[in-house]
Amino acid sequence: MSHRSKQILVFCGVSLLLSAGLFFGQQVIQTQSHNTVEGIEVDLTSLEIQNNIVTVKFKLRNTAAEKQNVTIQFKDCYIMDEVNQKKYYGLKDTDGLYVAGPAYDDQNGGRFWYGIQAGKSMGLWIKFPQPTDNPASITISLPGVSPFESVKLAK
Amino acid sequence: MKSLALAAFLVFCLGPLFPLSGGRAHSGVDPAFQSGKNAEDPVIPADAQERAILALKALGADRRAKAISFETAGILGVSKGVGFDSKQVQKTLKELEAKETKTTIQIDLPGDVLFDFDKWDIRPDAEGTLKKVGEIIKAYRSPNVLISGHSDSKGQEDYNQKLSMRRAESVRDWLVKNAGVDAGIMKTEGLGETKPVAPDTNPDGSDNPAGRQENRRVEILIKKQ
Repeated sequence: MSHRSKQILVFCGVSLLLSAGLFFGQQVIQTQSHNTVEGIEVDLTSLEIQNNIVTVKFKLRNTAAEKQNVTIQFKDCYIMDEVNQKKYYGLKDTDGLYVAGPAYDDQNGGRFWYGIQAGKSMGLWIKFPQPTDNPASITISLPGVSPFESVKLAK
Repeated sequence: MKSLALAAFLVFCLGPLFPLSGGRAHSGVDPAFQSGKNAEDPVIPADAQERAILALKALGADRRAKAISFETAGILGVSKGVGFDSKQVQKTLKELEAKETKTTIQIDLPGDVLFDFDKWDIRPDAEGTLKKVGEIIKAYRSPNVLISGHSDSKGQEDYNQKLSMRRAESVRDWLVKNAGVDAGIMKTEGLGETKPVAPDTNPDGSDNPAGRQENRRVEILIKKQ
């Protein structure tokens, strides 16, 4: 086998491993535990900024042996710019609903309220305004969940 | 031929990195329940970014930033009162499944254990539990106890509020009379069905008896000294 062929094989192998990782797994930026619902782990899986809007995605995993009910009121979710001592709540549309989901109902602008079966997970997303002072990192706070600290804000 | 094979292999390997479609279309159905996979990876509706942009514009230049405030050191101070760290108290907290923070202890008592259906008299077999609650309040020398009655959403809202208030008052009265807790430190409130901790109905709209049972409760919030 020529040197060139070996290089191609190595390249393909690395590409295969990389794509398999993205295909079968999911990137996790940070994980925190729910403070009151046993066995619920919350993965921060994505943070994107577009048009001065920060979109965050989470995955709530139930690692307990039983189904767990999880409530997250969108009105109580916010991001913090600790350097400039400011916090920003989720964006609310003209109907008074938070631009977030999935929402069980419209109470208080919408809330995530679902039973997650043992061993299963559910996604959650919320849109926030980008902090005005362009901090390098933020803290993300969800009610009942330990804060996601020092999350880098990269465009 | 070799080039073609290599190209095909690369497409296979790198395909997931560069999806042809920008995302799944929003069907109007709650994304979490479109399919099992979507429940784990919900689709953000196509109009979400547009709604967010409009919302952002409405916020103005400061984007409604709020100043961060911290709790005062006084609130964060932890009592070193008599007995609060004793093994007995810690054991009792565990038995009551109390939720403890630096400043408070929360004890949730199931309504079905404390009261008979539609009643607000304390059941005799619930007295042992309430006695333990009294011990905790006294051990921490709590200056402030809030007793909140809650109901499920079955029945009239007004009736549920009154029933939950009466139940909270029954707990307070029992603690005063039988556990020697100072009436002056306790406040009561009847929240009826306004603060559920579990869905009364399932996502498909059917009744959820387990959820309703969780919602029928009395919460006791004990502030530490």
